[in-house]
Amino acid sequence: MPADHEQTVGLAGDSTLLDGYAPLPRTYDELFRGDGTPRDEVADLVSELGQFGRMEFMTRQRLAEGALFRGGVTFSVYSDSRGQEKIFPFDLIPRVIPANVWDTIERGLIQRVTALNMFLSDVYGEQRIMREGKIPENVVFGTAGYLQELRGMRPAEGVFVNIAGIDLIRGSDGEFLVLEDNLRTPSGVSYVLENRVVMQRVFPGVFRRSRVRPVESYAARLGDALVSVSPRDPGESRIVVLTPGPFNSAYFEHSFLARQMGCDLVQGSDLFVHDKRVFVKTTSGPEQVDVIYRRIDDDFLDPRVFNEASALGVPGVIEAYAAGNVTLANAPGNGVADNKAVYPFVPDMIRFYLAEEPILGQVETYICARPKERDHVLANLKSMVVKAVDGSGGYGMLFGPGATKEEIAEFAVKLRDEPEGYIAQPVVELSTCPTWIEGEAAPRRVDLRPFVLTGKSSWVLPGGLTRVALRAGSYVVNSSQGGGSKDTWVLEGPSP
Amino acid sequence: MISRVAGNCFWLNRYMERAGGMARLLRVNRAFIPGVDLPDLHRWHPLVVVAGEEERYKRHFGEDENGETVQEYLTWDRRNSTSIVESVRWARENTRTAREIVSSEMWETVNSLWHWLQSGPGRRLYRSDRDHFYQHIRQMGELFHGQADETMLNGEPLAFMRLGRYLERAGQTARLMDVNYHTFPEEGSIDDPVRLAQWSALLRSCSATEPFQKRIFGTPTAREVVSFLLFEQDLPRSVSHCLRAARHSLVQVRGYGSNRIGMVSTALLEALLSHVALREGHAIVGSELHDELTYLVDSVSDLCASIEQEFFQSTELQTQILMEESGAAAQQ
Repeated sequence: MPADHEQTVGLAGDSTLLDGYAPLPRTYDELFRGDGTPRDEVADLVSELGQFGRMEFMTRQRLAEGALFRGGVTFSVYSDSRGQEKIFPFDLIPRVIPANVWDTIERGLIQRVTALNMFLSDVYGEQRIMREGKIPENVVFGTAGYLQELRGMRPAEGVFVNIAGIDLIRGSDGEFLVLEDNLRTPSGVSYVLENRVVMQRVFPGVFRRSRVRPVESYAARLGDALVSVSPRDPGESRIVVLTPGPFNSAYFEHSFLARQMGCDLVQGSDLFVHDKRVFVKTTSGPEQVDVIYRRIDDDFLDPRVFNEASALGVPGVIEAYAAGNVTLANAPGNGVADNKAVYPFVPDMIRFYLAEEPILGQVETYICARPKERDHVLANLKSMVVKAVDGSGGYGMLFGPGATKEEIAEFAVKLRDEPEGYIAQPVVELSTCPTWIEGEAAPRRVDLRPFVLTGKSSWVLPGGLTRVALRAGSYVVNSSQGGGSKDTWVLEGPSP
Repeated sequence: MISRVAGNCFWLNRYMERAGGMARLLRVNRAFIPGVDLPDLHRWHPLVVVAGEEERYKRHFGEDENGETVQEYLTWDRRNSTSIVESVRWARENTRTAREIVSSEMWETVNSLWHWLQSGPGRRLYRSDRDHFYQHIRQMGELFHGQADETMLNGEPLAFMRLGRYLERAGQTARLMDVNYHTFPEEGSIDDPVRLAQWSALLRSCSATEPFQKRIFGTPTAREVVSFLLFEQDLPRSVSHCLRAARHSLVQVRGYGSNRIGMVSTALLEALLSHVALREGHAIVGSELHDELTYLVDSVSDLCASIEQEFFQSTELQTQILMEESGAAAQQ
């Protein structure tokens, strides 16, 4: 990789990277104002990037992709029988967040995760929030996420959400809003870490001069958080990462995290339960396991309690968990707090448990189970995003502005038949960031998934995964539907 | 270490060793002494036998023993589980599964070999310069094993890798000899040009030509070649060397735990080593050699099955150990 001749300006006649970049109308751009001038807080970086010629930039983009491919930083595509792997497309133009903005996000995320954790503790315990009428019982019990079997079980240290990925978007006024809480098995952090390594190799100079907050400590922080909730003495605790196996699309990440934490990566068949304790089969005999960072969904975790047909899980693991002999991170049953039916109630949760106003806003949401709101949604489908309450990954939803008449009519029928299955939100004009598309920088929409770790206290990884919709005009950033990623740079505050 | 992952380490090296061995064999066979005119059948059929693919090959291609068909089958055919492309695929799959254990250097080697075979460049080189093609695969195999020794912590995972590598290699050498045993004249030196060519091909397939020349002077006798390939402890591909290296690794593996796992495998390997030790210095030829080689091939395969059972698929044994431990605790 070239490291030293970074200041090379493009070949003669080669125009530079950000020349003529035009932000979209009525849309917030991460780096530029509406008039095409760079925002003050990123002006230095924009001028650094502006020095690169397009040819030069293209070369670096190729280097980055080659490095990711050779390193096997890939996800597998299920539908391809040959097990073909692709790299998660990576865009070299970073997304930048100034220190003061990040500070608010960080406080807002910790506040939100704290409240969600209290909510979980409550719904699997006293159920005070329902008794006091802050959230209807049918919203809690009516969703697939609530696991009646777990009522009364309390995870170590009372922490249900050890690892959270909270999706944020930015509307046209630039305010960060929570779009979705992921409290079960949020993924993507390995891309954050790998993208950073590649960026540092490809743009060492820009990097040094920009004073970007580091992300390298994530795995160590994760290890600390997991050990802190172990039922045994931290010094003798054994932690494992539990994966569904090499055919899972996120296997690279599972393996990556195990490697970085220096612990074992196991599959369900590597574990067994004996006398309500979990053991891993090793070449020198069984060894007790204390903390399982599991990347398997609740449904598949224990065939004795949930899905009987699951071959991925560990029979008896829930009994061991109930006996307090093993910590499961995240705790089972979290789906009740991150589903779309509960989402509209999170601001009230924050007020209820913490007696504080929410620091981060969220997207206005219509609950279709309420007749008035449903009628409003039905009348305005063309400008709404309608989501199934149990859907994820961009599936099972209607994106009004992009839908045909037939699709809208079809969805209207579904809404009338089963209104409690849906929520709706007005379309948010997601912010854009300059993105390298076919030889030039073009505005593409982005979101942000920061990661919050909680052991005895909470810590937020500076930045997070910025996903970008690579197709022009698209709002869908999911990797399964043509999304890519960017490095997210949280800048250090002004020097004291 | 995790039992299943130990299995991945064992197998990823077996597969890589297998791919390299097949490439070496195909390359040597192509470069057969020019001027020796051997019908395709005699020249290529033995390779299908070494691969253990006689039956399946016949099912797909009947009596077609054309050199091109055989090479295509042994190199590219995905129906053939021992073809180079399948071996590399499974080596990579096992490496990917044990990615948190295997060094990044090894992963990049097997990953780039796989992509090279899968996409255009490998196929193109196969068509334009096959000798070079097989050489590349062989070299990548050597690189991979070298990287294992150079970049892995000297611990249990590496011990399982070596165990897999050497047992695979012991089996390969024995099978290679077995396919050729009928060409070994019982007495005297080898002077028939065709025979000589077959023999020197055999030595080359085991990367043993130069070592042999350094140890044996003059026209070789069959007994000398057999003895060298079976018993020469200094030869990296001799059966005897491979078994001793396997013992070294197995002892190392068992040193990490001090219990019963590995008892049966150790006993099998010790028995096999004493068997070999008894025969050292008594080179054999003819049908006796065939019996001996069959015994070796079968014993190695039994040993591998036992390792699989004891170390990698050990649920029953593991539960049993816990029951005994809690029983012992209750008695105290």
